[in-house]
Amino acid sequence: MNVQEVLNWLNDFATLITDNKDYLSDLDTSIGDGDHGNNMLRGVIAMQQQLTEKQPTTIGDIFKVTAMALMSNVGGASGPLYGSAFMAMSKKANESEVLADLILAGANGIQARGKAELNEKTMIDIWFAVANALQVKQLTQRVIDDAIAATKNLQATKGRASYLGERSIGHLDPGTVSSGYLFTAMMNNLQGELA
Amino acid sequence: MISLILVSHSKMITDGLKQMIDGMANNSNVNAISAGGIANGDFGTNPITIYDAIMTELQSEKILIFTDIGSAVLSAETAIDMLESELQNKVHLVDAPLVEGAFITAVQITDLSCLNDVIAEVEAI
Repeated sequence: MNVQEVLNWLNDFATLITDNKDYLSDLDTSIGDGDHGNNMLRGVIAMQQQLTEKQPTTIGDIFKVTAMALMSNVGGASGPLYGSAFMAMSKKANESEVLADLILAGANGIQARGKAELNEKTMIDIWFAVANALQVKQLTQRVIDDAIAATKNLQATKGRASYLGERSIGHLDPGTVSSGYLFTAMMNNLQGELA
Repeated sequence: MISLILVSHSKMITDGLKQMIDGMANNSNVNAISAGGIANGDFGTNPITIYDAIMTELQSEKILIFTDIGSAVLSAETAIDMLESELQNKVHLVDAPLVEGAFITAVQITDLSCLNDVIAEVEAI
């Protein structure tokens, strides 16, 4: 994994968020406050600007710039959560550039910030699913899609969606869908790290 | 001096609350800082704004953070995590309603000796 591959990964993530902004907000309208698409778009635009301006030269620094940009610009709970993920990945990247280690560090970062447990219909479900699959070299698009689909039948007990109780069942979790774009973009750019 | 950092999704709310504390609480031991909203006036909260507010108040004996809902709490916790550990002892995230909690605290705090009592009172609201 080199700096250019990681930059390509994050740029593709930004493109997927941009292309699916309305879909993400629609998902959030069902169980949240309807702004996840716009929030994430604002975050990834700031991320791309700052990565271009600051020209980070290590993977750790790329993740740090990304963390700060998302944290300051997303605005909703996803800001601190994605920010904590990338900050944890930035710290981890200084000791290991193994992708499975980085994503696991990110998952732990989100969990420490949001204090969610697995199966509460939050983004940690997909982060740990992807981290586990990477560990055993079995990450495929199917793993990502299944992790997203699995949130549909869960009842949210954390975050805004938890106010809906049982009515949260039957809807995809927007943060899991946006995380899915991050991992799809990752697979497309870091094929060499998966096998 | 006790600093009160006000965090809401809306900067107008924290600007207004600061005005109300400055104008009505009439307490020279208290400094209120508006740290709501995100850049370009959109709704949301920003850990970096909160962190920067804390850093401007380091001369205070205690820094209390008051928040509204959801991501305001997450953002405040993120800002506190970014501080050096000895600074973290100076900062307390108050679990009270933003307006009532901050205003009552601003009225009642005279010095550090009554701090715990006041916090206990507003956290019971």
